[in-house]
Amino acid sequence: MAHSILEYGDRHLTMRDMDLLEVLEFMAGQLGPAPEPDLAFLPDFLASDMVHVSGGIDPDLGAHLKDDAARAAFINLTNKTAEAVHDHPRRNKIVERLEALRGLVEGTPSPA
Amino acid sequence: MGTEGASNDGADRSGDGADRSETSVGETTRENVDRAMSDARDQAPANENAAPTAEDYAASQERLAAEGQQAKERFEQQAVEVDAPDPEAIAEDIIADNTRTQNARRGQDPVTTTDMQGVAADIVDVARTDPALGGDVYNAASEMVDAEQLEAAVNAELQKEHLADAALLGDATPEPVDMAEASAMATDLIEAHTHTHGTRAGTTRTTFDVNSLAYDIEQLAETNPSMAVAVRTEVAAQLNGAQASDLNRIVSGDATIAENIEIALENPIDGIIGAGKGIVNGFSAIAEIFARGSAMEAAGHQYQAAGYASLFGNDERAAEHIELAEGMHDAAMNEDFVPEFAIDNRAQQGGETIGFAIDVAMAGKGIITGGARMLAGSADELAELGARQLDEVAGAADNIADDMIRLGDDVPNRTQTRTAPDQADLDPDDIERFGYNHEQGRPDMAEGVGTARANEVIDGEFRLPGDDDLGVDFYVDDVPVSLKGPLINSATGDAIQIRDGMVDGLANSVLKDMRINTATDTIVVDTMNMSPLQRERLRNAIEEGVAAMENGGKNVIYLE
Repeated sequence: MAHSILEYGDRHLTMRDMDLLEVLEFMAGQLGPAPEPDLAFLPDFLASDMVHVSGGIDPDLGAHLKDDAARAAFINLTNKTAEAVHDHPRRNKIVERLEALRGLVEGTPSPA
Repeated sequence: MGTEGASNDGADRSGDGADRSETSVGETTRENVDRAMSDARDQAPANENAAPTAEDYAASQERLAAEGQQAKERFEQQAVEVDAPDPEAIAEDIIADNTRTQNARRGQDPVTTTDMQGVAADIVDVARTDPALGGDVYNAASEMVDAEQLEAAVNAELQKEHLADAALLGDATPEPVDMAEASAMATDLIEAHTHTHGTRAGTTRTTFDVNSLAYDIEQLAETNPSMAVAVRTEVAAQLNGAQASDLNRIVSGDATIAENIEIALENPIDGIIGAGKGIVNGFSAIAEIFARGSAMEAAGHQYQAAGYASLFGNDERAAEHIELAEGMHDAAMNEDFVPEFAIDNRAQQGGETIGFAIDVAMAGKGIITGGARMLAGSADELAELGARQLDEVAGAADNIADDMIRLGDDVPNRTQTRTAPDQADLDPDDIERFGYNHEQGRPDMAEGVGTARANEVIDGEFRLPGDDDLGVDFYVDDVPVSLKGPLINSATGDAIQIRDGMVDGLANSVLKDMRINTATDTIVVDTMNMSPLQRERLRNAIEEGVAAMENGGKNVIYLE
């Protein structure tokens, strides 16, 4: 199963394409119609051609989460999404991936 | 004219000798007369047995002529309506053929893109057989797409044709040729370079080798440039727009290195000469070795021992190139084999690249003498300079091979290329088996198609990794492999418009895998649906990234 590698600073996270897309879509679904500017890249990325780069699905987190405020907004979104999927039949797997995404940016100085 | 004019013997009684056989559409004089007689009888009200008069016949004849003329006009009008090409409809069809819609993903709007160069190639294709219609189609298409972009694309296509003919003609003066002969040659060439192959799935697929066909035309140009120009024109007229565009690009002198190397290996005599010329032209110190003669044989044997075996990595391929090296030695004995050769054709260009690559391989292995190394720069610099050439040589050589790749210890650390079956020729069960995500209960078609295509060209048992086996996309026997690409709609498997940004993204993901993912040593990169230029862009980006990489990258198997 094709994997993508997300990079943030000197950290990286390997995740299967389908799992990554699914969790990013859950997160985008929590943003609402007017997402805050720091997180607007997420729906933009999911609407772009780049979601079809099999094995290379990698929203440029480093370019978008450039400061602590943006990073905090992203982490809050993972938490909000984890709550939102509480009744999903595969909740544990989805939350596990959300935590992995949170761990990628949490505690890491912003790349910028 | 008396009543005898009503006679049905079919003779022309008018005495003026005029041909009246075409008084109405599809009727001969005899039929006409018979019908007039019959009509006249029908119209005889008083006495059914009365003979028709001359006036009856004349009136009937006049009426029939009028009806015939009307029928003829209706027929011609219908023919015009049926046969007249509609430029707008043709333009719409061409644009539709070159437009891809990316399916909406979870409620988002679909994205539609048009390949303007493809539109231009198809319009030029129409103009090849009917210039006026081509112009009308162009005008119609200009109303439907960005006119400026279309104009630029059409100009580029026309420029390719112009450059192709100029290249074929060279310094020769154009001469009249027998176009029927040119057309027949074109048909024969197309047939000769169209091949049908069987697939593992039990289906067949047909491929068309435009590169070899272009080379045949180039060869023809050496003896008959005007005929070559005519044949190129006729061939282009019989191909579709994209194929004709490729033909013109290659003939105009814009063939890729890989295309030239393919030609060199298909035409070993010129390839051998080109390889020798490349070595001599590239490295004057080696030229001295050849010129001295006494070292010639040793150099030839060194090619066998050090060059090909290490370059091509398997016995069959090595044997093929040992033969090439031996031929090179023979070529070196030829009195024409002196420094500063002109490269005469694409086979020699390809051979020149091979020769250069062999030189680099030898330099890297310390085989070249100290004097040669001084002239050519340091061995390291030389090796770095040639690394990309080596990959391209190996890639192109493997690309024409049908043999399957065997992974494991025998695989040299290098790039290989295989032509995998089209998506439509794959076993649907394989696509499902390799692409189905059991957790989510749906397939990832990109994974399924990419792995199924790899399965067709890599020898061994394919299996998918376990849930916790992150970083491995599939195993071939026990060898872990990463998969990058293909670029298709992962949900539906439909083709999508591949943009350069996606190609760059794929290259980045390959390089990232090489840097970060320690679980695999081999990456399969599926380039399905990419254009030749996009494949070249992808390879260049990956090769540049690898050159800057400390760990030397991974084995890369390109699927085309």
